[in-house]
Amino acid sequence: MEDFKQYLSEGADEREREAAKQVAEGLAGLRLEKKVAEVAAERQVLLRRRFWRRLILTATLVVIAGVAFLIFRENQRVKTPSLQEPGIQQPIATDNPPNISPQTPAKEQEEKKENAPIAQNQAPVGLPSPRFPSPSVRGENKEDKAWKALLDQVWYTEYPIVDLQLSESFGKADQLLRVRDFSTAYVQLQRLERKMPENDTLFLLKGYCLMEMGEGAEALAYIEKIKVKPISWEPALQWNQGLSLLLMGDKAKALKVFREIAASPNHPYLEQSKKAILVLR
Amino acid sequence: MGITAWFSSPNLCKLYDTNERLFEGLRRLDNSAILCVQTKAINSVRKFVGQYRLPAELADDILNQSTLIFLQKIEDGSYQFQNHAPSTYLIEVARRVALMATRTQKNTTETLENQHHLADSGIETDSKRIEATELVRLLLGHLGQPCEQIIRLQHIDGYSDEEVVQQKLTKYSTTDSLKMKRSDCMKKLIQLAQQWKTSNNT
Repeated sequence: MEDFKQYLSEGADEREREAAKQVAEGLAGLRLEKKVAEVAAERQVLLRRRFWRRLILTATLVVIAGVAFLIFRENQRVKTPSLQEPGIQQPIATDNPPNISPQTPAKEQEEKKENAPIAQNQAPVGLPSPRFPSPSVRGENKEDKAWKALLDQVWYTEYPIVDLQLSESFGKADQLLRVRDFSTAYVQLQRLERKMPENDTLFLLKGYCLMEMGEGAEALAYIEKIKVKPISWEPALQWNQGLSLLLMGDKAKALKVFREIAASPNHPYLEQSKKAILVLR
Repeated sequence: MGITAWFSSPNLCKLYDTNERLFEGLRRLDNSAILCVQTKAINSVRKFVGQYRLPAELADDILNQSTLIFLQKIEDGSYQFQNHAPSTYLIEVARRVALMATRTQKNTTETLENQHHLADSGIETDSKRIEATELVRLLLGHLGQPCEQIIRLQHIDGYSDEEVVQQKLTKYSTTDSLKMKRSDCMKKLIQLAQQWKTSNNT
């Protein structure tokens, strides 16, 4: 700071000195005012930046929380059918694989109906849920989880079918199908097909195997290849035909098949068909 | 400014880890030191504004006014460093300024910058200094150019003579000519102040 005395005239009186002091004080005051205004502007910039930083951070957290919630909800939605339908859990392979018959669970259901969970009591026609889930759907409905859920509700498959008589050559494939190792069974059946290209039993097994692998069109082709259909095979073949059509996404044709089954009072898949019709509606 | 710098939270008080360093920074009028002490005081100022039921937007004005008073006290030596936190003193000044604002709030909606009668109570501000500031602000306007600019550059904006000459902020190309001109201008300003006082006293 300059010495203001240098600006005083020679022999300056008290009033002049007083005026010089006042000017010095005034200039110092203006300098401080300017400094404070400068800092205030700087502070505003900092506060604004902090505000936006917090806003962006909060928005990011909200988005992350939202995405996490959606993922969680989506997972819950996918898990819900399996929680409500304990029957679709994969059974553990044993030496004596279960003979899967559509009638058996129906009987069990009658006995256990009172103790069954509410979700089971609410099944359309009182049937238990299928024991196994449907395969991943290929074709036009591949990505449709709702369609998969629908298939899961009607996936009543039976192996071995009633009165199935198998020769020794089918022994290995039969074992693999019983433990539901469809991909290995398919390889085995492919080998067999080279040896016996016109065998109806092979067509039956391969059709079933392909159906469980989610290959609806191919399964249907093999079912239709069977030239001589024993009467005992017919109910299962008809039902599998309906399921294969469903796998292909051909709801109308599948419904037609299920209606035909539902119209036969003694058909072993009567209840399943009724349920399928209800579900498909 | 890079995006990282924008997002990083600046630690304004990093340079002033002790009260003494902060005081020294304030005495040198370092912007970062002033910002640091204001950051420490701002929450208390907002609290006073709430307590005294003042409009929230006054908090900034009160902080600025208090900072000005505080810096004046450091400059004239009435605030001496005694190992206490400078922010404590600033908060106390702010409390008094806020209290005064409650009294004036009823009568005026002027900003605190214009409420110089605040100082008339003699609470914290020096009325003589404020009077002098206002007088010089007025007289600088009467001085005209280039005197006003020459005095502002040196005494208000804080430029050195060398900087003024190097950056060609005035028409004077040497520090000697600049000094001579400023000396004339200062003499003129003192005379004006003297005349002002005389005319107001008579």
